[in-house]
Amino acid sequence: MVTRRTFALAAIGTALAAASAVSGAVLAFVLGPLRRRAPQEPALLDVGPASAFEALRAGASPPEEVFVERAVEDGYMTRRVKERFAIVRDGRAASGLAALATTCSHLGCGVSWDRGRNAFLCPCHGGVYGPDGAVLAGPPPRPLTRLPLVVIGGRVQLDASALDA
Amino acid sequence: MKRLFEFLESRASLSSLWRAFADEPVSVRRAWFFTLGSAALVALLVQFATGFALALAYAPTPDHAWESVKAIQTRLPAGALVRGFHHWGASAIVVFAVLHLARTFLFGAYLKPRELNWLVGVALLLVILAFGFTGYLLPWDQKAYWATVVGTRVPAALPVVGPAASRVMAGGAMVGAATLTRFYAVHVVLLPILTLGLVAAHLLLLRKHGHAGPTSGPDQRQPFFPYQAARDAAVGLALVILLLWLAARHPAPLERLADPTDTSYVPRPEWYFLPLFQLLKFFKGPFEPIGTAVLPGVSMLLLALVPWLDRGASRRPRDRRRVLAVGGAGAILLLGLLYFGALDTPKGNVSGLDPASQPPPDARLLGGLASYDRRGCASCHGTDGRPGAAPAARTITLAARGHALLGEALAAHVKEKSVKAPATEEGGENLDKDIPSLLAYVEALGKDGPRFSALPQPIRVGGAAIDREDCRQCHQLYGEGGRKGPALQHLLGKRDRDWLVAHFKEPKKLVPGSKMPSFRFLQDAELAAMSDYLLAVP
Repeated sequence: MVTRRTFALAAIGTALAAASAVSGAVLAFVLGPLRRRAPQEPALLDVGPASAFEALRAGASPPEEVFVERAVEDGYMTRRVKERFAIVRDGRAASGLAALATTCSHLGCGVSWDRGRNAFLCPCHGGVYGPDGAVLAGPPPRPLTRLPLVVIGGRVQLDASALDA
Repeated sequence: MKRLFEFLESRASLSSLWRAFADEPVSVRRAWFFTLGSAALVALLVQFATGFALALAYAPTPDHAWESVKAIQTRLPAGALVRGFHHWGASAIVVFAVLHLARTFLFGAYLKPRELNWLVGVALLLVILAFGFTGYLLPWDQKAYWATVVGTRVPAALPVVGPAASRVMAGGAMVGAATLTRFYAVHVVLLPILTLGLVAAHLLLLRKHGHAGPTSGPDQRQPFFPYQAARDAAVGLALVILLLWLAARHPAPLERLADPTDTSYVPRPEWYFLPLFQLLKFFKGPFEPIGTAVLPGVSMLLLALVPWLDRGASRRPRDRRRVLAVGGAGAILLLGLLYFGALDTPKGNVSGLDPASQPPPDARLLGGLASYDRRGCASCHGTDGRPGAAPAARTITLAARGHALLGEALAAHVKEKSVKAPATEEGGENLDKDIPSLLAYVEALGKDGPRFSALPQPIRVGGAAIDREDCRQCHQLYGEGGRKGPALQHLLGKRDRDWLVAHFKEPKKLVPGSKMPSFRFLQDAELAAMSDYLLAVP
């Protein structure tokens, strides 16, 4: 014998199941970006001939800005984006060089090198980084992201795999 | 007519509904203060109407968003007006919603039994701010891009859930195509539905408990219609007129196309987010979440809980001194942050439409302008065709000349009077092939002349070179020219300057099978200017 109560509970249960099937699918779609895909192409990107950075390696010139194009997964498409990096001196690396991402670790604004203050400045909330990317002042919680540079066949190559992590 | 009303009454009780709506008793004292909420509602209706119109012409992809907004702003009929309404309407909603909230707070109108309606109001305020945040990404200009970069990373500093929340907001690791579709969907689907529901709840709850009336003393009431309705209508009308004036006189800004690599851009958010922006400067390193999440979150929570924190029975301000003092301090803090945030805003950024983003004049006119300079026309006719430094007797305005001399006679005059071409000019080329362009320029001088001198240098040089090299022999430009090559339009977003310059030099290398001749004999600066011109063409 089906009572009104069991019938009502069954009806509510069925409705909830149907609703959660739909909203589960929607939720999975909305949260899709949480899934990380492996980068589509080799992570080594060409920065330029090693000879171009001799003065920098010797400590005779300030950090240098380079633009590197790479493919990024962007929603429904793969886009080629130009990214800006600062090439700095790095005594510990075999190449003598390292690349710093120019994205402020605070909230993602673009930092740029200031000759006068000998530091990277963020235009948003006043973050200041030293020539090695360490935080000197302001709100940034972490140093600038450092990416290894290797020299292969006289060309400086940037290992961008850390950027997708 | 009477039968129609009878029909509507019997089938839908419309006139009874109208009576219930119109006869609601409303307090007479301080009646003008009670128009603030309906002004916010009027602004909301303006947003719904103009938002629908904008969505008709807007394309939510990084390749087309900026271009479609530029078309709305510069080419589509009434586009600038509609967008102006939408731009200023957004600010108007924030202003009136906050004033309405301040009035409710001051008069203690949130006290029992109206606590729930206060909560609905706070939710509406959050929805309005979400509208603002998602809305200003859509033009995909510099401000849009950078404000969203900052905005989507604000939650990232939260422990545990932060990075995931930031990723879900942006639709990926960085702001891009997925962010734009996400924000668009939230802005035009989710938030409007929420708004309709919340506004309906707000009005129904208002009617359920009735108008709160004066905080103390006698309460004299009048029916809502026509008394309060007239005041609401007057304020609403004034608001619409103000918005119309703002939209017409102060066009909504559109900055340069979003450029993630631009080093010179100093990002600043819309004014109603400046207090938060300023707050973010004060908390360093591990304390960052205090500025990004704890303080804003706690203050919104306190605001929502006001009816339960103020447990007094009296609505009179003098009995609620402590609550009002805390609220006042909060308001002063907020205004202070807004003030200092605004002080720190560089002036250069808040420009109107970037001059370079106006569609450039036809290349032929720029070719004519170059020819005008080269032939020394200015020595008699002045720059821009107006009397200049030349001896007054010989100065003839070009407009007058253009009327007197037509066709062949004008061409003959140009040939006769021009500064003789220098001997270095290549042989074989027809030295007078620029005359048609020159004549077109002279004809256009009457109305467009002064605008040309304000054009950025690359646009002038590039347009002139495109005219001189006769790109139109094979390409359509502004709907005119040959069809052997692709039309020169909508290049922005698809090509950049480096690509175009490389392509001018060696077309076959970049487009296999291309029949375009190489232009490597031109100087790099000129090729770059030609690229700039082409990228500016809509």
